[in-house]
Amino acid sequence: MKVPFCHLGVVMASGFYISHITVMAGELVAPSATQIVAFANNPNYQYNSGDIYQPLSREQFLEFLQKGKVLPAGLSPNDLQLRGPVTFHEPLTPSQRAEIKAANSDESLLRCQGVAATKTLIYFWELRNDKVLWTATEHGDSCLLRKE
Amino acid sequence: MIYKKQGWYCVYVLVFVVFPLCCSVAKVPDFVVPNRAEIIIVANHPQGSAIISSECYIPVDPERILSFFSGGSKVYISDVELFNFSDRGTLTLPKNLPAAIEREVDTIKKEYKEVKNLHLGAKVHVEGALLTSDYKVYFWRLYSDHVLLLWNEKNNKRVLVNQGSIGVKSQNMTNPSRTE
Repeated sequence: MKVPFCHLGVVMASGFYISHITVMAGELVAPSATQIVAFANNPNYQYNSGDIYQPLSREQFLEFLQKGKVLPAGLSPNDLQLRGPVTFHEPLTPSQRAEIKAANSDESLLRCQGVAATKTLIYFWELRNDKVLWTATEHGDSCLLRKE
Repeated sequence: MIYKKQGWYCVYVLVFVVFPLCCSVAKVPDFVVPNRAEIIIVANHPQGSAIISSECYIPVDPERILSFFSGGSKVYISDVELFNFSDRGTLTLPKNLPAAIEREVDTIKKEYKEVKNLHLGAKVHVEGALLTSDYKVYFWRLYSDHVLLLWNEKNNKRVLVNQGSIGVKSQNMTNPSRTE
């Protein structure tokens, strides 16, 4: 069957349009756990004096990649799916406890972020709460993974 | 009795003099600054990632970061000197920044008029991570055109001071200085 040349053009154009939209959306396909060759917490993420740094273990991170479900893009920070308890894994100092009490919120002070890498790409990650992890590449493609 | 006293004396000398001395001499460096050839990926921190949305991350050409590892950079183990260096230098922002970032920078500039260097406003960050061929991750932050802070997961820090002009410098360098 002969396909008219103009039809082919329309198909190609719509294909380009769809792929263009996909790129513009900036949704990231998270790497699989087996692709990760390096992992590190970033301990120096302390721009505000009250920030409390907490590390995430490599196993905990890989668990997000293995069991996490991708949340819809474009959620606002107030979305219920992005809210949740934040567990401090390490004992807090008296001054940190005082900071938390003053701020009346754990989430605003906890800083838990770092990077993971495959052989070709570095992924920046940040724990939003105990169950939600945000990850992105330097190009801004990102996704939220929720662990059930 | 005398021997017993001497024995205790020896123990004291060993514990408080010999052992600390040996430890300081045999101190293993926490990390060695990698060579340019060892670095396989340099990535800028993505914009819009911070929980505090008012902070701004500015992407730079990876070559600017790699030039610090091409050799000739002075490496300082402590970051005590960092503030002295960053006071002197300026941070040249890349041209043709995305419009959203330009707007953010302009707002911050107006907000932090008293700050000599934009980066010291603690709102604009030029930082990222790099990966070496042995799959080690380091974090970097550009404080000024010639001052780069490098640190690892254990928060061991190095300050790399690149005195020459960026671009030209990387072609004429020998092996990087390693102070460790």
